[in-house]
Amino acid sequence: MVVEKIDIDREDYAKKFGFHDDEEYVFKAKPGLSREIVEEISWMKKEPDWMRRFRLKALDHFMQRPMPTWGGDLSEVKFDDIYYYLKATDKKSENWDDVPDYIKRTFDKLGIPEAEKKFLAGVGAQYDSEVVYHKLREDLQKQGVIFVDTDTALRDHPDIVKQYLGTIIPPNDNKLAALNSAVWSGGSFVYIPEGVRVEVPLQAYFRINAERAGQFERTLIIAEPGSYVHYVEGCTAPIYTADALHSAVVEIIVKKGARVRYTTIQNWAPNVFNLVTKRMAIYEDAVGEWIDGNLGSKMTMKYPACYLMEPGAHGEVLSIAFAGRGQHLDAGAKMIHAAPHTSSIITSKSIAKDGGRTSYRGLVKVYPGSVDSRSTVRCDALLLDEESRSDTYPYMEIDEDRVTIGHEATVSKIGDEQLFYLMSRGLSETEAATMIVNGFIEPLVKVLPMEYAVEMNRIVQLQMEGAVG
Amino acid sequence: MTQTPLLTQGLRGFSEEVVRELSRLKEEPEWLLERRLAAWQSYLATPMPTLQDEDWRRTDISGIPFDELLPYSPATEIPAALPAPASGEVNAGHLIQHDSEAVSSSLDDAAREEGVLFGSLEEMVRQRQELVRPHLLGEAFPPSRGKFAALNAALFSGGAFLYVPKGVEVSLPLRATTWLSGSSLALFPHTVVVVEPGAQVTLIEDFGSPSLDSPSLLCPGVEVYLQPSARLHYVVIQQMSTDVYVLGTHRTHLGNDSRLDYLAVGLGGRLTKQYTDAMLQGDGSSAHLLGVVFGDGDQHFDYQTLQEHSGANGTSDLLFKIAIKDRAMSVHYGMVHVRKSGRGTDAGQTVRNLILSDGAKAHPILPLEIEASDIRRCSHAAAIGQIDENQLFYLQSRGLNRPQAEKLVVDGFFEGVMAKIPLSSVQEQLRASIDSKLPAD
Repeated sequence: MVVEKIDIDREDYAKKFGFHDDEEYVFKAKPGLSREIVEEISWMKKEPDWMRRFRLKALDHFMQRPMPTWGGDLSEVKFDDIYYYLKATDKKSENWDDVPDYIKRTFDKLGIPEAEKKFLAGVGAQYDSEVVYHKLREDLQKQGVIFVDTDTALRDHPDIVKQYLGTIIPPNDNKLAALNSAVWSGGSFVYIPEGVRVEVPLQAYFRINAERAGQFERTLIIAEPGSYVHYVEGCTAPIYTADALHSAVVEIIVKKGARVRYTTIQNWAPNVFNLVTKRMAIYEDAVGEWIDGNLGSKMTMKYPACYLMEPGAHGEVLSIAFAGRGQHLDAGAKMIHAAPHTSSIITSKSIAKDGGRTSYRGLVKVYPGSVDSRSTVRCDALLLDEESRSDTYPYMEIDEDRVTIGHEATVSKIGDEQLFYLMSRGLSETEAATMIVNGFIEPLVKVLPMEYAVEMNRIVQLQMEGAVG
Repeated sequence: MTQTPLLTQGLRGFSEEVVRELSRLKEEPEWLLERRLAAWQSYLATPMPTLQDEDWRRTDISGIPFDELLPYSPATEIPAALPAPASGEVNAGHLIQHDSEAVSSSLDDAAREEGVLFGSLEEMVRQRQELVRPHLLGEAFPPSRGKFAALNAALFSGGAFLYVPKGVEVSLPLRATTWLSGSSLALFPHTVVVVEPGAQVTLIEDFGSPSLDSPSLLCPGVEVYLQPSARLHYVVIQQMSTDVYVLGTHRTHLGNDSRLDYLAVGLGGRLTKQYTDAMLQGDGSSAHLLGVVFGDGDQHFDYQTLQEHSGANGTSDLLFKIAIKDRAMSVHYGMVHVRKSGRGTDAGQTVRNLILSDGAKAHPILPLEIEASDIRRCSHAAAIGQIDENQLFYLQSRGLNRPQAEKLVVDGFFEGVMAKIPLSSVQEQLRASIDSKLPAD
């Protein structure tokens, strides 16, 4: 079952996802980053010249910009040792049987094809730098929905890609977005035509296989007026001693009256640096939602953003982080109110355990003239033991008077009284603690597709075994 | 008095020579000169803050003409323009500073007999060196706290020394008033408060100035030592004219079971950056920080508070009420930091912003840093809103015009905190100052 992959028990992780395939790459670039590598990637992909220039310009930005000094400690990322491009197969397939056997075995173990049969409208699977499998239900194809990998989109729909790519997150937005723009490969391209509602989720699955690999997928979602789509991504990687780097860029355009929900269940191995830029532009009366679950990785820095561009736009971020030993999850959200009558909600729930560290970092910005903007921010953190750490950095920049903005945060330790009460009702200490944690993350579980929700509860149970006492 | 060429010739700007002359002029002991010089070195070593520094990202001090400011200018008279204390004001003592030096001080006999010391810091350095030396520019006021804490430490002149011996409760408030009347003047008052075990005292510091011809700087420093079970109620009221830049640093060390009640009132100044640090080092200590800020015109207020819990079972809370009008801007950076040793901490923060005009800006930032501890609870809340139209509508339906109704709502917004100011005469005066920012015609 696909839901296996969101397991967050670190001991269990090695058994379930920590395996790796022998490296049989048709192409593996030299480690490190240079103009030559970028040119090579572009050449391998037979890209149009404008994309080659886009990459090279982005590389200049990356080289020039200083490393961010806030958030997590990035000095440990060995940019010179990373493999920026790894191609495992020449084929991209719509037929599962055509995927090379050893890659197929990987995704079989992770349960991808089964999941597709059960409850998905479309599936994409990316293995290191390249997408190896992509499939969309036929009825949706007929309605004009496009769901392909971004390289294919660049070849088959160059006009749409050129019109939108890099417009929501320009290459010079930040250092890591510049890196992605220079070396991007793979990712999903989703186009939903006007009025089309895709009622079952599309899913992309990202797998890093090689040691010291860099994965830089680039996802672009365009929802035309009145359309709806729910996109789900999941990620895992083997456990190596050397660290891997995942640095994605996700750009989403939600046009008038459309609605996009983007769900991430990030379960990278504990040696992956996960540095991601995600942003939606939301237009008149449209709704954009990020459901951002961060369970894995050594370090995550990720702040999904909603730019509320026109009246009536609404943005939501639900961010859940669960940090265990050796993990630092610096997650959050950004809400930019750039038009009147816009509204946003940020809900952040974080849990730290066994010396893990969670940080909420968020911004609510209201530009002058965005009258009648409303924003609510709610951050709760739960510390399960005395070694763990939780930080909250909520920024607010309110430059308009006719607004209603509220922010609340709490950090608490699992309550002895709550435990005592539940235990007096006959629960064991672990059961009681699990129940409290489940209650705490309830808002996430509620909005997950059913299959994920059931699994999520099971995972928390696993994770909690022996957590207290 | 020794001749002091540099300081008397109207030299402007700051230098090590100025630090040395100031110390010589005041006939200070060697240890104090050394502390000033160490602070001066720290000032030099710290880069001038810019908009690239996290603490200063929203506060632009590039307009402060540091090189054109007089570092020292004594006045000998009680300022004629100083608003007279309300008749019937009862206080236990009053220190008045005019420009760089204290010009008068009083302390009632009852307090004096119990061993309370209250007067100008300079005077106390001369008379009670043994009590001042362990604290002045001591561990609560490290120059590393910031460039302007270091500048205050290097160039301080004026300010109060308050010492309350063990077990003594001073029931009436003490007042220290600083009046700045010089144009292009930099003032560095420095106040030291030492409250011994079980003692209690209230200190109100107020700062004011008339309109000036050219901008001046007020750079105050306050260091407070609360010994076990000591209690201090401290109120600082800033009503400078809008020609004055204010860069202040207040830092309190809290011992076991001690308690700080702190209230900052910010109404004046062109630009204010105020650091307020409550260092809850002792077990079971508590700090309660309140703020009333009302900015109008082009005023800029930046209050940066720190509730640092390193002792066990500490409690702290914060409530700032901030109203801004016209093109004024308010930044509130309120940090709760719980160190590993801060087990059992209960910390909270609430910041409420009332935005009264298009063009006014509010940037509340309330970080929590919780390091690995068995905490009880940490929470914060920020709310930003405009005046509730329903309230205005109701008041207008009762016959008030709109400005009158707005005024009433703003008064109500501040009232809960204003009522906590210990002297009713000071309360009245502040209410009048707030009302003067809200023309009701």
